[in-house]
Amino acid sequence: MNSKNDRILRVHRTKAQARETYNKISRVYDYFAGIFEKKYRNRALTLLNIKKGEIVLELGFGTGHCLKKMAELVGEEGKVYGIDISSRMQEVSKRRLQKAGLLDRVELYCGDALELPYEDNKFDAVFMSFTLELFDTPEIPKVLDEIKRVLKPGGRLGVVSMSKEDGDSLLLRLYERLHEKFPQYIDCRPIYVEQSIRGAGFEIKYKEEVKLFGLPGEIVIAKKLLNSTLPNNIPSD
Amino acid sequence: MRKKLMEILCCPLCKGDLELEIDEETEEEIITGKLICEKCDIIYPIEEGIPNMLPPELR
Repeated sequence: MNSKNDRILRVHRTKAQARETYNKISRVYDYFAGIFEKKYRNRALTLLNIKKGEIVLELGFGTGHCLKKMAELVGEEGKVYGIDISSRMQEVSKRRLQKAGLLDRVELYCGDALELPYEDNKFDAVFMSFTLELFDTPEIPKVLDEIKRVLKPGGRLGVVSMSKEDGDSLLLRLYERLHEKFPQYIDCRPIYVEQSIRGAGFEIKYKEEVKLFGLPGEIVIAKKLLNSTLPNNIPSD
Repeated sequence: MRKKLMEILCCPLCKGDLELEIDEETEEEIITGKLICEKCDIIYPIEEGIPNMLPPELR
C-alpha cells in the first residue's frame, strides 16, 4: 500500500457483520441509500453501454434496481449474473425481477466478490455501484483482480463509488467521522477509484467526477486489456 | 439456479470444477441441492433456487 492509500479509512466491520447489516436493512434500503445512489448508478450504467446479447455481472446488486435495468439492456439473448453477500437482498431483488418478468434472464448468487465463483473470461461487462468502497483497502486490488479474471479480453468495468480525490474537504472529513462512529450503517467510505482501477492493470476509458449531496464521487469506465475495444463514443446520458 | 449455469460456475476458492447434486428440481431450474468442490472439500448449498457460494465461515 502506498502513502496515498494510507489516507483511506480502513474497514473494521467483518464480512459476517456486513451480511447481517444488509440482511436487516434489505426492506428499507431503498428509502434512504436508494435516493442517494439512484442518479449516479443510472449514469454509470448508461456509460457502461451494455448491449443486447451481452453477458454481464453486477457485484453487490442490493435491491436489484440495476439488475433490472441490465436485464432490459441485454434483452432476451443476453444474460445477467448478480452476486451479493446478503441473502435477504436477494429476496428483494428476486421479487423486483419477477414482477418485471425479467427473472428468466438473471441468475443470482450469495457470495463474496473477493472470491468469484465464475470461470475465467466469461463476461462482457462487470458493474459495481457503491460496492467497491465497502471492501477494506488491501482487499480492493484483490476484488479488481478477480473482476479482471472473469472479464473477457476487452471486457468493460463500470464503477460508481465515493471518492477521496478532492482531498479533505470539511464535509468529507465530517462524513468520515460519521463512518468511523457508525461503520455498520454508514459503511461506504471514500476511496481513490480511478487510481485503484488503473493500478489493477485496467485501461481507463472514461472518468467523471460527481457530487453526491456535496460529497465527492467518481464514475469510472475501464477496459480489460487485449483484443477488443470499448466504443469511443460514450453516450452523453 | 438453471442447470445450464454449470458451464460458467467454479469453486470460488480453488476455481476448480464443481459437482452438482440435485435434491429438488423443476424442468428448467434446480430448487434445492448442493454444489460440491471435492478438492476443497466444501459443499455450497442451493436453497430456494439460489446457490450460496460464500465460504463456510461467512455463511
